[in-house]
Amino acid sequence: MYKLLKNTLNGQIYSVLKTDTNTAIPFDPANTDYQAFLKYQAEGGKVYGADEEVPDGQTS
Amino acid sequence: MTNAVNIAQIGSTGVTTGFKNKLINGNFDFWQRGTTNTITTSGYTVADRWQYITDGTLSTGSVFTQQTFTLGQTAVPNNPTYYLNWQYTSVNTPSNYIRQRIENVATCSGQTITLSVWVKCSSGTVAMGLGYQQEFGTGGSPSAGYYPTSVSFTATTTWTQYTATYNVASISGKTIGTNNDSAINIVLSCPTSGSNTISVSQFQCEIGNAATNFDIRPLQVELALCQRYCCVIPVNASGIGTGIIGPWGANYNSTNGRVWYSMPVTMRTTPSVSLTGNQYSIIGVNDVATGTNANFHYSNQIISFDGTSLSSSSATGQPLNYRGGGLITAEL
Repeated sequence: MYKLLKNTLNGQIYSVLKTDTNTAIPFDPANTDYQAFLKYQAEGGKVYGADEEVPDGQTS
Repeated sequence: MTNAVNIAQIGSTGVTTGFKNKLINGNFDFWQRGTTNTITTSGYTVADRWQYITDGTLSTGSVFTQQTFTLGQTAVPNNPTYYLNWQYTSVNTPSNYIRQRIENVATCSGQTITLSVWVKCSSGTVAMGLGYQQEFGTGGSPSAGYYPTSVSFTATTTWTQYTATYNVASISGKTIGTNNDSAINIVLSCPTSGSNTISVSQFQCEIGNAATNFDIRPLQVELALCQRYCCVIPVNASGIGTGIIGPWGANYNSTNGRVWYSMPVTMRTTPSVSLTGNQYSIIGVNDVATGTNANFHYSNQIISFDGTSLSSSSATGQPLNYRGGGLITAEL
């Protein structure tokens, strides 16, 4: 499960959080976590917005 | 003349120092993610640099652990301190192997390499394999990966060194992806069904057509090699950040602060950051303020993040540090 992260100071989306491992992932094509996120998104996986609540216990 | 002789000797099969082992942590000394790692799916759940791969889902009870050799044992040479135990239970999956991805698919291409590893199993015998894979990365239009058949061997309950020699395929005419993530993978495969515990020690990949002595590097060098791909924000026995080399910073207003953490080495690429806590020590105000971790900034050498909505107010510029642990990864 992924959730976009918004900078609290300027409101810009700058990163994505993998919620089951609490991993903040940079938008870097060479980062393999980011590659996995792009694949998940391309396959139609749900990505929560920065202001959306991820339901408790939901991991995928 | 003497110098000429010395130079000629470098690279000969008898030389036992340097970086002849292309694998990192082949001696299984470093387990920054923990020394007991349960496995259910693929991932970096082994020792540092080693990745587990399966196409299925394993039963609970499958686990990688770091084990300690009995002092003075002679079954495996060179007095290694640790070995890897790979316990798998009720495997029923198309693939079941560990591998190390060595940066840059050009590594060893067109050359002869020899893989060597010491292995035993806990009972009976186990059909295993030693092999390599070439992957050309992502981004752009990279060539398809090359996955030659592994060399098979049968592990027994006695520590035995197994070797495999390959003429690694040339990459002439191939295209490497644009994301700097191509690799040659060295693979140790297990059966795709059944249960056993495999013990693994002194895994080496070297140029040449014969296995030579294991390449023992200084531990600080081996750790630094590991940290290019993974490092931790250390914690003490209570799970609290040491605060010595942990992220330090200052409040930038009454309830928000920013901390910085310098990685011990430059990482392979911009890393991901997993934090285990949300406590901050605001010096002279509150040692256990809680906050929300936010606003990560990443570079290959330094990360920073904010503790926002801190539970105690303080003056702007008040020093603070993050009290939790963390995992910082830039794996291939």
